[in-house]
Amino acid sequence: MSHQARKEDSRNAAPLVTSDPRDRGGRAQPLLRVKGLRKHFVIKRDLLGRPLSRVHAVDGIDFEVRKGETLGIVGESGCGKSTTARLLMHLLQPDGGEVIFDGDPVGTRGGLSLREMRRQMQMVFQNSYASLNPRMTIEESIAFGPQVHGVGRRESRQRARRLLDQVGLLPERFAQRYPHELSGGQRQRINIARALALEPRLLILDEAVSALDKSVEAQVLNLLGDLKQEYGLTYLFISHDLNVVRYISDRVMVMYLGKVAEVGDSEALYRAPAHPYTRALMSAMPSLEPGRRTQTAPLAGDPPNPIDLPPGCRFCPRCPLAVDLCRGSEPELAALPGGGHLSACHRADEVQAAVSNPQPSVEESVR
Amino acid sequence: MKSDVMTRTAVQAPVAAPVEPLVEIRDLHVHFGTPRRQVQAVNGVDLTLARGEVLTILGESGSGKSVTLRSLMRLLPERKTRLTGSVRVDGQDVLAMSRRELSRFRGRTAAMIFQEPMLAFDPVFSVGDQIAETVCRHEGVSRREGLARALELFDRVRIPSAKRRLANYPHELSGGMSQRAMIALALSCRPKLLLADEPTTALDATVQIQILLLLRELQRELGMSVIFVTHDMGVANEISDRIAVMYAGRLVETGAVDTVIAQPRHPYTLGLMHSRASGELRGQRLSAIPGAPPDMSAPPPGCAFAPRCPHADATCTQALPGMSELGDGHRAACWRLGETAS
Repeated sequence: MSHQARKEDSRNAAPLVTSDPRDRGGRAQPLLRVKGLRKHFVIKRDLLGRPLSRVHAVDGIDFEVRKGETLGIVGESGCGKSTTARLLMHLLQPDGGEVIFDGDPVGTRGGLSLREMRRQMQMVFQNSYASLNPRMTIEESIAFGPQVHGVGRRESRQRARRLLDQVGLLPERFAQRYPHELSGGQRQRINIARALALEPRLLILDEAVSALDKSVEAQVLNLLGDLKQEYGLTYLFISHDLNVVRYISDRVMVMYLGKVAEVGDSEALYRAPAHPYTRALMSAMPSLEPGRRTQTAPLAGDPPNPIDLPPGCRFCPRCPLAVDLCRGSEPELAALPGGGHLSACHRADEVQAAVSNPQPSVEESVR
Repeated sequence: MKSDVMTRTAVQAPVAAPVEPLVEIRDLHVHFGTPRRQVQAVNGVDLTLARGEVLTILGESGSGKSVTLRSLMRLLPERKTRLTGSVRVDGQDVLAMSRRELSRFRGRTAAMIFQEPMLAFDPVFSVGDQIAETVCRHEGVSRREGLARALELFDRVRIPSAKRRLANYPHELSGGMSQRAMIALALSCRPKLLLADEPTTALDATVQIQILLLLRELQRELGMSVIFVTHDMGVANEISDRIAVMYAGRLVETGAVDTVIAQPRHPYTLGLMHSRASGELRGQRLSAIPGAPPDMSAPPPGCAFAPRCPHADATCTQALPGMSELGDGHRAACWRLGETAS
């Protein structure tokens, strides 16, 4: 499978002039291309060790991340957004699918080694404290990665101090401190600095600002914007906060129970969502307009767990628009007219039409 | 051990008249002491809550919002906490209560729901048994009646197939379901005051809105007063009649929810509103509030927000601003209110 993909990619890889010498495929080639990525966790086995039931955490997803963009991933707990991030970093072993980084398949023979991949791709986690070694000073933590990758001790420490300065923490004040001496916002800056220490091209931010207070969150979002510009970074920004995702992302991907429900340019997707789930997520956001409160909840009940999936569309048990077709066959992620906007819904056109219609309820306007 | 906690002398309260506010907090100070460090978590909070009113205390971590809420039920560790000021709920002096009075008060007059429902339940008993036990203990009814009440409560908080769910153990319930069960537990003795400490923060957005709508509905049906603690302005707008914004252990602004959200006057509230990320601001820098909240073991002498405030001058760093009336119950504690008028 990877051979064919490689051939195809090497054809596309016409050398273009770019500023980054590591950029091999040119602007047009996506930095990351994911095909059929899959991870099932077996939670029960029979006597012979054969799997009885599995969690379909990530159930065959395809997407790409373009060079220099920010792709936001949103969805509720259990939708597979964090598992996707961990699969990309190979913190979890995928069950299937391929990941192609700038034309090179990752983790296959002749492709990009995991070590090399992790140089180019780094991750920031939600829990700023758990992701730092409590027994290392901040400077040691940041310099650790480069040292492992063969940068000299002295140079890596210099790099650490430079990065500290860049994330807005005075090196002379913070370099020798330990993680417990810092606030949540400061620790998250350290984690960002550490992720940047290897000079990666893609940064995966998994709920990286979710645990921060609002006033600190804005500071870190500004920092992410500055760093992106300065280093020409590409972001994969995972969050459950739709406002933040809309602010930071060029494109947004909505996941539901291990599948991609919808993906598109962020403004297009927010203005005219083409999947009933996206629509529900958006109307579930608390209103900030004085005097205008939400009157009805868009969905009832909790997100189901991805163990026993319904046949057909996996959203259909909660979907106000579900018809027989939805219960019988699973919709493919398909492009909508106009291009660039994909939705996995049999009735995507109707959902979109309903949104541009001023009627408040999808149900009514479709009927 | 108890007497040194309550420095206040108990004044016999007259029988509560219906016009009297349900909750009255006067000059509340809460200090946590360890041998090495004193943390001044709450520094002089005055707050009243009318019967049937929903108030949100909005603030960041460390602002003292949860501590204020917990002192209403005296849920703070007594040996490490110094509580001064006065806290009256439904005509009763909470700080002067004996252990016995307190356990009657908790659950009956005031009940609390938390962010983590899993921690509110005992994992080895079924949720139905736990609710029935609460009812039996407080109202002296039989277990059977207790269970009947539990079933009624489960229906009330819209738990589907309520009867079957009563037999479930806490770990068998999903996040939204266990939050509903905790609300049922809190309502089991028909409290007059419901205290909610970020009950929707850990939930998914589609579940959060369901719980907010449920709380709103229950509040209307039962005519309870609610104090809701959150850091999310949107949640505050959805749930409350009035907002009280807290910063560094003090209230900085209070008023009707619409007024505070549409025309905030304290620079901190303004900063919070302006630093929100939204689609319209894409590609622009957010106007973030610089710096970080003060260390509450050594709070600054003047206005605690002054070091981060764009309007601060010499007065602000020296003297503490009092609450100024801005009309219609809208009040803010700031020296430079003239500059924040829109």
